[in-house]
Amino acid sequence: MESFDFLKERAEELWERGFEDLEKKRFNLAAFDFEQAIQLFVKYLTALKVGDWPKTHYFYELIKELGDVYNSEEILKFYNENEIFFSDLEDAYFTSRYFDKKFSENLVKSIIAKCKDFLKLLERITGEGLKIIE
Amino acid sequence: MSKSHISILKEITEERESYFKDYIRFVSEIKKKAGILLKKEVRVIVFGSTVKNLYHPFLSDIDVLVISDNLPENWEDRRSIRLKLKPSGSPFQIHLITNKEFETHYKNFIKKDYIEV
Repeated sequence: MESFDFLKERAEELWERGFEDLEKKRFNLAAFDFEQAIQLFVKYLTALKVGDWPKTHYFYELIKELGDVYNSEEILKFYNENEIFFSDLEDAYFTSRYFDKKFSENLVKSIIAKCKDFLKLLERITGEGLKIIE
Repeated sequence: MSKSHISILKEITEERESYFKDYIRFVSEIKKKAGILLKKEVRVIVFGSTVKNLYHPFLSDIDVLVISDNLPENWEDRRSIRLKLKPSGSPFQIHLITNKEFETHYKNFIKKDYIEV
């Protein structure tokens, strides 16, 4: 059985680096780190169930598959109710690096708060948690 | 029983493809809605792989420029407008920009490969 633990480990490292970047006031990088942590953890959870993950960085597709493989409508419901959060994460992935747009400290902090809500939901549904610093 | 990885990907691809096949209709709706939200008629341009008919239904975006001088100055404040314009779960990537931003950045980038709706 293939192990996908590396995805979870990278996610935890990126989560930790997000706080380091936040402390250094590198807000675009911090947002990017948190986006990567969530993206990799979602892919890890999908891989645990089906042995692979969608080759995309778009959260709608990633979360739709995650919800399907865990038979959970709650996951897609969270997406629908927090679409602006996932849109911010996608901006963190793309816009924050390739365009002259700066994430504010407040926006990064609101992203972290929503990431924690999402991780709590995922832990309740999948039984898998991300070891994260607060 | 949960669906297989392949059947889920097929479903997602079909859902995305439906937007590519009918993108002009969706973009017309986006333009109409943007005009109402921004209280003034806007210019709307589609560019990238969709207009060149080189898109991949799973991997590509439908890039849409909504050009208006009635946008908030700060891009963070533009986020909620962009979200209201995007059909939920669709592959549209909506870029809200001013005429100046179009002239100084996007115009060179998209060259002649675009359709104005």
